[in-house]
Amino acid sequence: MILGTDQLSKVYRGRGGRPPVHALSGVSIALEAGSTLGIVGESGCGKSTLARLLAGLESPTAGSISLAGATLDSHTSPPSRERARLIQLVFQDPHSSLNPRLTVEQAIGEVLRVHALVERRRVHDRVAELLEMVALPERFVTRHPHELSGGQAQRVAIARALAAQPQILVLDEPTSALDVSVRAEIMNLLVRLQDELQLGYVFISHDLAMVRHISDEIVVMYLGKIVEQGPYQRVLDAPLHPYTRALAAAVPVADPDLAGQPPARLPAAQAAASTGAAEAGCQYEPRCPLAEAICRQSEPVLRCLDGSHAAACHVAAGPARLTGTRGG
Amino acid sequence: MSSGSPVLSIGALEVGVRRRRGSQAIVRGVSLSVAAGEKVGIVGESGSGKSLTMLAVLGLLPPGLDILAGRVEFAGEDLTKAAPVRLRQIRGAGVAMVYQDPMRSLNPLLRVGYQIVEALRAHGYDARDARRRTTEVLGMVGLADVERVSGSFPHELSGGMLQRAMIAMALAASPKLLIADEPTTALDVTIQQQILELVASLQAQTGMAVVWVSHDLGVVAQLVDRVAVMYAGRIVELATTRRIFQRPSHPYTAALLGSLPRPGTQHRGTLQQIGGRPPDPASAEQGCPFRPRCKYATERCAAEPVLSVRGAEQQAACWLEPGSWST
Repeated sequence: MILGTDQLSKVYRGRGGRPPVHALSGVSIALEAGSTLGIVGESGCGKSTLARLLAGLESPTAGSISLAGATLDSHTSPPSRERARLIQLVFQDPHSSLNPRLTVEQAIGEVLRVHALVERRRVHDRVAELLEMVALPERFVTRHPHELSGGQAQRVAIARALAAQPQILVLDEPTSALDVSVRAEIMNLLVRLQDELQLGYVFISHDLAMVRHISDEIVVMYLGKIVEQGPYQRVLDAPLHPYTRALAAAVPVADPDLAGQPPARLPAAQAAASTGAAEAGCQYEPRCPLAEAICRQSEPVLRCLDGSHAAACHVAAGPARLTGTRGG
Repeated sequence: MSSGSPVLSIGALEVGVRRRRGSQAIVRGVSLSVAAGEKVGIVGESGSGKSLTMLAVLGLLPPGLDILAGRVEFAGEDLTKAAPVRLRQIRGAGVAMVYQDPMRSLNPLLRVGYQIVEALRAHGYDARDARRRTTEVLGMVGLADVERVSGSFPHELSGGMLQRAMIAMALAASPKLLIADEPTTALDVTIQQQILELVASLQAQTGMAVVWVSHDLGVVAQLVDRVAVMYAGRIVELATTRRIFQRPSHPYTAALLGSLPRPGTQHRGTLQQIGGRPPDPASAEQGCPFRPRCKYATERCAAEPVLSVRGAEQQAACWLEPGSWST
């Protein structure tokens, strides 16, 4: 395990008399070198908060993060430079994550300089090498972000992350702002880089098809908590939690045979409830078509139900398994 | 497919920059008709001209861009020749539009309900009827707490609720045609699913026609009867949804479909890339616009192909013989 979290929580203080927001509650994940952990969920589920905590942009309220076996002192702020180097973030919109006033060489060179990774006279060569890794020609060194297409800018953002020689990339919706035909290029690039460099990826996206394509393990989050976790096929093909099923069913499939006859879809869910103080029962209960009395009384905990496939659901854990109540 | 006279008929539409000598077209020769009650999808990547085409329909082109040639008929009336006053009447009451970002389409300083009332007043409703209709349409789009939504400012509502409110506003004056430009792109998949189901059910209830502009083939596959695929300002393929997905007859359509991980795609396997970039929409390059990126291009492609019939309910702008290439 190169990256792990133990019962990670983040609470934002409520302003103006409002209750505190539990953005993340008791999240434990584990990432192996060279593998991808996919994180899915709706906006407000805490996936971006998790990314920010992992990257050290914010410190957790409770719980801990360990990197390469060593527990990080999460309360130092800013985080140590070494940690900042080892875990790099790639954001959704490269045009807003790259400084518009810096050329590609300056933007990437800055990282090399801050972490003192190469001698000054070697910066240009190293930048060219990094560009080659992301399949961009050397002549791009003098370009500014506005001279790049979305796909090219995202390649530069990835090259900039790689410049730090990280062990882990936290990819927060890395293809969502790109055109369909460009997404494939970035995905192919990410898979190749992972194989070459044995990088660990935390791949955050609402695009389940992309998450499925690249992930080994998938974590499904709902209102700051993990509701399901396991190998990618298990989570997406045989989901245990009704929320995962609703999420998977909501993905439009570019296939008219499947799209023509809408899948046995769960009833339209209402907008996610507020992330206020946790109530007694299951957080998903108000939206859940399978909720039973127990779901209003006690909150289900994440339990391994089938090998390494875990879910936090009373119904899935109970005798009447979801698969048994499917049909209709 | 519905029959009868089209509610919208676009003929050889050219949109671009008007110059004294040699105007520059960005949308080139787009022809498309939408029958009453029909759902049509327009798919394309950014810069393909899909949004400009729809803005031209409504007479809402940004400054500097004009309709250079062609016609846009709404219920038999040529909108390119309509006076601004007449266009204002048609917008909303005849054709309504919903945009990608509801936060930017609503006035942040006015309450949501007031903005719908105001729109209805502009279409001749008196204050009381406008308020009644506002409550009615907010209920139609499945907003549970109509009073609260109506009295809220845009920033107080979630993205999904706002997009519902925008759809309510669009429906308020009972348009015959709803144009939706990527209305779910900024939303979560579960909310997107709800909006798609909502539009499908409202369409069935009201019988309005829907033009759904999107870059997402999956969304389009789910909602529409026919799909127009745009590339470099042109429609390169036009067919029923089923045909487009089962047997694309333009290499660009096939490449787009191939670039998505679909059921059956190998896990972590290489996704099909198109390579290269779309041409500058204003480029004067001759020939098929997809030629530089096309795996199957031949000498013949130096001349631009026009949209031609490829079998029942399918047209493509490509010189290749159907079936002479495969993906």
